Amino acid sequence: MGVNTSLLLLIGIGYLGILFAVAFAAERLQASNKLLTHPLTYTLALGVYASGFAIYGITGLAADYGMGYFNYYFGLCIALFLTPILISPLHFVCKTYRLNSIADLLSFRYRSQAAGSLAALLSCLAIFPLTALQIEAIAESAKLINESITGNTSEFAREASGLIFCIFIAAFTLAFGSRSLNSSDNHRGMLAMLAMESAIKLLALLVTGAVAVFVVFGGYDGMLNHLHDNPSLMQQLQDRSADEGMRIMFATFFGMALSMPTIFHMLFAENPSIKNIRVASWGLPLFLFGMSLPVMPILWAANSTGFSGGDYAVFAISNHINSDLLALLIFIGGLSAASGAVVVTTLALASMSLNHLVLPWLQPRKPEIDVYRWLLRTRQLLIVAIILIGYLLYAMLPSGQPLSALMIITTTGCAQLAPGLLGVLYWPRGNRVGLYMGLATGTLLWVLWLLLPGIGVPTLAAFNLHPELAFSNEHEWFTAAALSLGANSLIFIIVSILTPASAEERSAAEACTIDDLNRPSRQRLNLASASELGERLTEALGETVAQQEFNRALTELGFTEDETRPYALRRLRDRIEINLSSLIGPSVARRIMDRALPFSASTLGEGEDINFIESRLEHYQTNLTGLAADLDGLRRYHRQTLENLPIGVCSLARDQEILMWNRSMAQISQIDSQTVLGSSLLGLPVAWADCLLAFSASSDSHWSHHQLETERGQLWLNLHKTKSQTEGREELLIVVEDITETQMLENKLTHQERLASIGRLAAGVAHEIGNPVTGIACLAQNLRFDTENPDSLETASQIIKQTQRITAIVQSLVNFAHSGREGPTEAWQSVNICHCVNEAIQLLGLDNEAKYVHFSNLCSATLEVQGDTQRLIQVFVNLLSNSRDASPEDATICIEAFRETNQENIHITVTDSGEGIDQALQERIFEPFFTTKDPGKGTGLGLALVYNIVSDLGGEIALESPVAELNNCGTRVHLLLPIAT
Amino acid sequence: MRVNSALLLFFGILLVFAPALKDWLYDGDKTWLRHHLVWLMVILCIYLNSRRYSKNGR
Repeated sequence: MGVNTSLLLLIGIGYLGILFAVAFAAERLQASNKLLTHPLTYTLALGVYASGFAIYGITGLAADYGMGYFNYYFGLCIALFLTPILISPLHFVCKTYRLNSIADLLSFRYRSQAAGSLAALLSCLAIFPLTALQIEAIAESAKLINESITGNTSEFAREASGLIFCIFIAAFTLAFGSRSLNSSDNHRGMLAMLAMESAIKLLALLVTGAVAVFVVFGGYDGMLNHLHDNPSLMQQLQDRSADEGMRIMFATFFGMALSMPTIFHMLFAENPSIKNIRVASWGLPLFLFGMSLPVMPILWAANSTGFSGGDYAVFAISNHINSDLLALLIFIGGLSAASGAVVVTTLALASMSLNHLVLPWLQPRKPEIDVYRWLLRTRQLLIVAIILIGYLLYAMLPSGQPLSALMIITTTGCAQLAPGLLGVLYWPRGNRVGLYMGLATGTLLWVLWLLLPGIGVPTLAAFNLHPELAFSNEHEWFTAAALSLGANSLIFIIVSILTPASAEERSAAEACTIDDLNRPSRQRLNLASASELGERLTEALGETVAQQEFNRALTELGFTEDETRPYALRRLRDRIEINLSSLIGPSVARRIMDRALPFSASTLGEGEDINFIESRLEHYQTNLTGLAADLDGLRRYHRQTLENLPIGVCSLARDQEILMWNRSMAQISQIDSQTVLGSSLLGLPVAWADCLLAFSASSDSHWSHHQLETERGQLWLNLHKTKSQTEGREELLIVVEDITETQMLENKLTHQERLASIGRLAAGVAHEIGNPVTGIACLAQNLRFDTENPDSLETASQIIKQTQRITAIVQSLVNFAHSGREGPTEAWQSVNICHCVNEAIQLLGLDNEAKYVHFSNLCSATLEVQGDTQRLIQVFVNLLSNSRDASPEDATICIEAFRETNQENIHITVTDSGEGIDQALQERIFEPFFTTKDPGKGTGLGLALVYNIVSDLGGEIALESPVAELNNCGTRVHLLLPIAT
Repeated sequence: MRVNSALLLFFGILLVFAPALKDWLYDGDKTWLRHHLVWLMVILCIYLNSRRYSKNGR
């Protein structure tokens, strides 16, 4: 080994060290760093597609297939060109359901773990040759450059560089690609490294191309002259390019661009935003354009120097001009390209293998195991294993194998996944049986026809193939690719048509199909609350993981642990399943969730989750165009009409889940629609739940004047219901009309009418009783003069007393009847409240037999109301007298008055500290002859009189008992009287 | 299914002019250059289309 060989290796190691440093620095930068998050950085990182093959092998492909080499770039470019109908919908599905690999996607869409495992296995088989190709490219280039610089032809540089490359890549992938289980923004370092290596390989190839044109040919005209002087070159190019196999080649590379794990991983797992894809849709083709432009000039220049092969033509240029610097630049470019490709490929395969080849068979069972740590360690082991397998494959590759042969094996293998992938977006009829059969057939043909011969394993005699034959004769692999892909697609289609798909599969198919908003059916979960969901999850996942995933889902959805709505619980379950899917793959996640949180066996009919569909439509609105947008506009119009109806509307599913709760309903019930939508009727406050349950269960279509006792008071409702006329939807539409105000008004009118009737009756009774009583009193007077008998005189005196009492009662009745019957007083004047109250207090003080209480008149001397002084004094005498009777000895009765804010009323209160009045009695307290006093102590007309006088004066009266400020005892009478004008 | 009118138009034109385009591509000694010219045009189309999407705020 010469010194220069060591230096070469050191340069290589040094460069790889720089990549480490760049990745490390990027990881240290903030996530919001503009350079890191710029779409162009992502686009450059996506250039990882142009692997070591794009530096060393592409010239070999051009030598064999002429302009056919274009397909290597054009397949991906066309896929990106179809971004609106291909990449964007796939991105949407993958991001919505957290699917990070094509195996995840197929497993999710076809509802089959086997589909995922088959895809993962095929991807591994197809990608290992590509990994081997990268190692081979690095090892061979190291050998060539060593020979070129040092003249040393030993194999040491080749062997050492291959091994060192693998060790470095494994270390890098472990350090920057698998430190955490989250696959999104935690790989900033890796993206920065990929962007840098893309820039370097582009530079290397462009410089080599420029040297080829301007140094080897002496300029562009020199190259054209060379082509003119050697017409066979153009003829050869045209002959090879015009071959019919070019279409197969294009189809194969297009299929690979869609389904290659590396590209899939970069497009969907490492890309947080659709904006990046939009920039990449033109940025990456431009990058690949730059990579493609120098290919033919380099090949022609290399051939002009006597180079006869295809692969590694770039070194023929550096050798020709004898430039070590150019050779080193090419080597570094190749190293960049190969290292990036292997890192991303390894990551993609490790994630896929973990989810679909390891977890279905091997899962941590012991509860004390930290599942996150276990998953991380397993993934890291897989990374090392994948690179090791790549190295072993490289070691066993037959010598002289062209790089394009390995590329073709990978391309054809990956392309086998394309039919299933296209079915995800465009063919909901495709099912898992079709996928198994098609994929198995295509894979079998590919393995026997291309893979095994390609890696030097003797294939079946029936194919009569040899490794050198398979790729030296281009028609051989064209046939193999066409047959395997054709058989795969055809069998997939035919079997899918002939076999039925499960309901679950159909639902997933709808979820993935373009422009189809997933219409999940409402399935019932036997759960009472979100916290119970968390407990069940703990049993399946262990406490740490369950708690983390549970909290994460709650945060993402904005729910709380107290959530009880069935709709919310379903969303929570779905979110946890999606989050788990990004960790352990959709199939295993689904299996765990089905075990821990199974849906109830009872079906809820064909009813769809309307709330979910609406929320998805709201989210999707800006993407709707044409007829869909018009229909959405119509939907919004009808929805708004329902929302704005001045009558409450609520819609109930068969399982009593609330599907609609419009604005009026929210106002009537004082229950916000956002908190109630998707919940069960039982989740409503008891009064509403009982009422709606009873009404929905009853055979009546209407309930009129239904009385409902709620927290905010008594309500009177008219309820109507009708069944949904939509086919397949057993829903109940309930219309609720709030007639509380009308009912209260009716009650008041009825009450007043009753009082008026009683007044009229009292007047009549007073009149009828008055005459005989006057007669009796006269007779009793006469009796006093007719006899000297003391007993008779005493009797006459008693009769006179009793008749006087009857007269007093009758007079009260007459007064009451007059005040209630004659309408509002006509003696309007300004009445000073304070004086009025003082006068009433003085009058009450004349009664020496009454108990002693303090009257505290706190009314302002300036407050005046519109009314009649004498009648108001009567009001206060009655009110204060009642308060005195209700109060204990030596108590204080407080009279206050103040002006109502922004109202033309004076608010007067009379507060005593008695025992208060029962709620039931309060309704009758203003009725004539109703009294709570002992018999003989009250006529029951005082408050009735007050009520009538206040009404006459245009005021209002109300009772408050007990009074909160008086420790829930006492009574407060509120009077509202019009302010003096 | 949402139909992308620009793409449909592009593929329609491509279908009509494919034979003529192929003849032009492989005619003379500028095959290599013409392929890249077509490619550049495709990139330009994609760029303009993506700008349209960005302006629409999608």
